[in-house]
Amino acid sequence: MPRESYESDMQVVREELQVLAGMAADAVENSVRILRDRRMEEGEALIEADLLVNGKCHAIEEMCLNLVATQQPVAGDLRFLFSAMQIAMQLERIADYGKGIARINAGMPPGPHVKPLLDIPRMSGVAVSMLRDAIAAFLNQDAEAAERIPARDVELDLLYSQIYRVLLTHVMQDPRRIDDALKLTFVAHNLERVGDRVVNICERVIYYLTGEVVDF
Amino acid sequence: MSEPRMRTRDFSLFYGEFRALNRVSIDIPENRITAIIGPSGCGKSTFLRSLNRMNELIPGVRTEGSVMLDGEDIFRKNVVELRKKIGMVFQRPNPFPKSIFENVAYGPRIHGVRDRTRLAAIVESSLKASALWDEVRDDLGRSGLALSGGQQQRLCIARALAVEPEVILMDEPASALDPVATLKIEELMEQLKRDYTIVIVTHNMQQAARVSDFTAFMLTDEARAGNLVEFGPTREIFTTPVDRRTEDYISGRFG
Amino acid sequence: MRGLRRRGLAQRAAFSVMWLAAAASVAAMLLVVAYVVVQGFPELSWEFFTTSPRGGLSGEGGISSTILATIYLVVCTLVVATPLGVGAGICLVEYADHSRSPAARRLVALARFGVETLAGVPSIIFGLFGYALFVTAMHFGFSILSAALAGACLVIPVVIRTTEEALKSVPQSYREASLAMGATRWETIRKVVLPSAVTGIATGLILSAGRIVSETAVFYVTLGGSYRTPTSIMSSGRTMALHVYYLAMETRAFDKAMATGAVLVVLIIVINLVINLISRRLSAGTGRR
Repeated sequence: MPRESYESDMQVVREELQVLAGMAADAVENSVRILRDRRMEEGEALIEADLLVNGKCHAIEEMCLNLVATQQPVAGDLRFLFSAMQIAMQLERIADYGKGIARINAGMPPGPHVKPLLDIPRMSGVAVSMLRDAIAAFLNQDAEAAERIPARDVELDLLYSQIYRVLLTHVMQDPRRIDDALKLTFVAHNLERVGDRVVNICERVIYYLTGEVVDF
Repeated sequence: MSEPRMRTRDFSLFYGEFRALNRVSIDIPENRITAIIGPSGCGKSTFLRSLNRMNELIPGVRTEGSVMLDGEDIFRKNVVELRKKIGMVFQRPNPFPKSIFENVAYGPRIHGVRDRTRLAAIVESSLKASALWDEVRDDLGRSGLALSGGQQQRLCIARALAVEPEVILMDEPASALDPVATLKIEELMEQLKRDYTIVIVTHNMQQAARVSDFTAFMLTDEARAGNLVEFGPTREIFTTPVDRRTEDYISGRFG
Repeated sequence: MRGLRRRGLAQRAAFSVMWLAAAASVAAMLLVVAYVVVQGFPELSWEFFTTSPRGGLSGEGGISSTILATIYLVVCTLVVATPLGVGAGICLVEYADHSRSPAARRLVALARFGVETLAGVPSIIFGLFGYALFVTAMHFGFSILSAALAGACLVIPVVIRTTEEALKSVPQSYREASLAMGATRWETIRKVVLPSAVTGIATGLILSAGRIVSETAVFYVTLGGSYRTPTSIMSSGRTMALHVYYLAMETRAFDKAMATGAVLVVLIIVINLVINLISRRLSAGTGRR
């Protein structure tokens, strides 16, 4: 195969991006579980593990930069590397949201929440599945799959509104738990932002595969 | 954008019975650099040399289809007049074994300029336009062959400019030069395109990407005839090419 | 190791043999030249160069008329041969090769073959031809004119060949550059190709001059043998080479023959030196460096 070492370098970028995506998805998923089950020590570990995520993101950026400098990629290859760098950044921000949720958990006093968490884990499930699907579309070069994902963002918006209304009701009934309620809305807000980031990733995937710049 | 300077429609070229170029249709835009790229033997030089009818020097050559310069069929035009309007710079610098002055004055002299002062003025402005004046102004009587490779090529460019063409054809103008001389030629092309329409054949894709505004990609088919595969603005060709073959070639994935 | 030494020895042996052969050839030539020059030198004097031969059996006198006759003959022959030979060469190389009609190309191939053959024809044939046509049929008689025409036939193939070589050695890129600027073919030939080829062509012409100086058979039957200084192109005369022959055959003045021979040899050496100088200038290129 012509340009063998170039091809294998590109493959490394793909694999590392897959790993980073897994790390981001796990961060979000775990952070919500930690919040729901009030696992304080795991929360600490997750916050520290965010450094690894940042490191991985920078490593991917550096690999892409290197390839651009030394291999003069054009067309599809160039769009791939450019998109890979952008997607890595989005994944790092997603992991940051997970870290944010873990921080909120650490800032809340131990004990049960103002109400058992049902919708927030549901939001997390939707967001994480969107993320995993988006990365799969990128790695499988499936533009159609990438186009279908942004529509699911609506579900996140709906869930967010619902969570907000429910917590509002609880606060009105028992104003002493207002602090917890506000923090929980913030968690939901973070999860909604994860969905936005995944939509950005899908836009990048479509640019890579078709050359078209789209806005969802 | 304005009307294309040159336009070919279904242009084919034959060596006897063998079809070397197959129905190539391109619009060459005015005051831009158009690059023609493709693997060796794809017909890009043959096509370039058809634009100023240099292929007629080969016995047995026959053409079909049309090539227009400013709407005029070049095959109906007087070939001497045509070549005054379309200049050419070759792959290997080929200054005449004469002085620098005589090299540049050759073209204008042929076309009737006799007055010594006018010739001197033309020589000076041509050498300035090809960024060689400062290096040779002190001794225009020096032999053209005494210059370095990059300077010789700029001398050849000055020589071509001296007849005041409108289109300049360049056949791999920097391939025989070192990287520094190559960059100088590329800078020169950037300046020249303000006043001239430039068509360049190059096998160096990075050069095509750096220098040109439009790129044409050519390839031979199974009958070994050269075909135009894709033509478009350079930034589009190099970021989102339409044809798979173009993508494979510019990414270096041709076997 | 033994193989290496054997191969080294074999090489040295081969080179030594070749050196010996070369030395022998050079020595043989030098011997001839030296003999003639040494034998003839005593006779050389100012009178020798400025008086005419007096004719008759005595072989008295010098070679002034022969010197003049030789000069006139070379000039006249070149006047005829140059335009014809150089012109033919230009035509064969610059125009005929690019012609499109197959008939023309066959004609060119035939012409080339003719030139090659003529170059190998024994010179006496040209002499007899000259005698039959110029001296007799056209009634020019024994004259410089007849001799020049016959001599031209002799040297034209050489001129054509050297012109062709000189033109072919001009790089095609020069022609392309000129044509691409809008010059016509003829302008390109006149202004680019010929100036570059001129040294090669000049070499051919000087070679021809040397040929004429040394030629005897052709001029023997077209020039006549008059020992008087030629006054017009219709005059008869004798070249120095012919004079050597006449002196040796008709008189007992062997010393004068040797002397004339010495002059001839020196002249030929000078001509060859000039050719050498010119061809060295050829490879050095033109223009100031």
